[in-house]
Amino acid sequence: MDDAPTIERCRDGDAGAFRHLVERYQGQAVAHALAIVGQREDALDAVQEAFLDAFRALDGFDVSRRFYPWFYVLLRHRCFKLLRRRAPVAQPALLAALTAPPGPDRERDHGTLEALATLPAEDRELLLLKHVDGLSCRQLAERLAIPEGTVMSRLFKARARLREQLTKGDR
Amino acid sequence: MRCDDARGQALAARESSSGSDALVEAHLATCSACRSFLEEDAALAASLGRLQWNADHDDLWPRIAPGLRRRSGASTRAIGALVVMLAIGEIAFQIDGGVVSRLVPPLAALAWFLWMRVNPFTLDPITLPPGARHA
Repeated sequence: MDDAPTIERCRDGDAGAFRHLVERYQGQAVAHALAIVGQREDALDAVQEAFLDAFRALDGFDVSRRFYPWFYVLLRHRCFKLLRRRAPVAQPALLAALTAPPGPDRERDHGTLEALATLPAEDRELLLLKHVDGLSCRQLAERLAIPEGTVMSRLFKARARLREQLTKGDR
Repeated sequence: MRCDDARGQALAARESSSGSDALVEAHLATCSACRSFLEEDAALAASLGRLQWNADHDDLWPRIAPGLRRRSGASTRAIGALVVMLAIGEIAFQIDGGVVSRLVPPLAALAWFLWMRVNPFTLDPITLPPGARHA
């Protein structure tokens, strides 16, 4: 859906129009934030702050582009800022953000999910954007503001760490 | 060719959907450890791909709306206008505001900080992270 008219209304000072953007993207944003920060209340704080940042930065937004990829940059900035301030925590909430669907591979997928929760936030973020959201390496490079080659090497390393965690779990 | 190189190149080829080069293919044909590594990696990628985001979420609008009002800019403009008017008054009409005019900027900053809960001396909330500037 085209967000440009809504964004134009926000720019004209209609703060209520911003509600439509919040309602449209809050679910996706909370899930992404939860995947990074690992705790529900922290995720809600990060999303709230990111939406406020977005509202104030809308004048600089190019309406010919999609809103969410731009917003995601603000969101991850808030998430990692919050993580730097907080002590590392276990990641039980990640299991609430994602689910392994029913099927013959459910047990394996649930193991993957549990192993994923033990990885560093940067690895989790990258793997979920790539494999759950289905972003290409090029899209990831744009979203994370890093070269495509770096995306690939980080991706391989993240999967290697995930395999390592799964192997540990099997022992 | 070393196993690490073959694995790296094969994974990169898979990500970019291009074919592996002949050297990599020749290595894989003779190295069962590398073939097994790539199969495991593909299975792991498939497992990750089956995960789904949960759909339930909170309504964040009640948390966000008050912040929009606080940050709507009207208060900032009013404080700025007051400081500028005092400065113009002092310079153009040589009004000696003395202590009062010198106290206005720090008091305005303090009021801003208390009211909006945003430190007026930090650029952080306004400075966009890399990637958001040209997005």
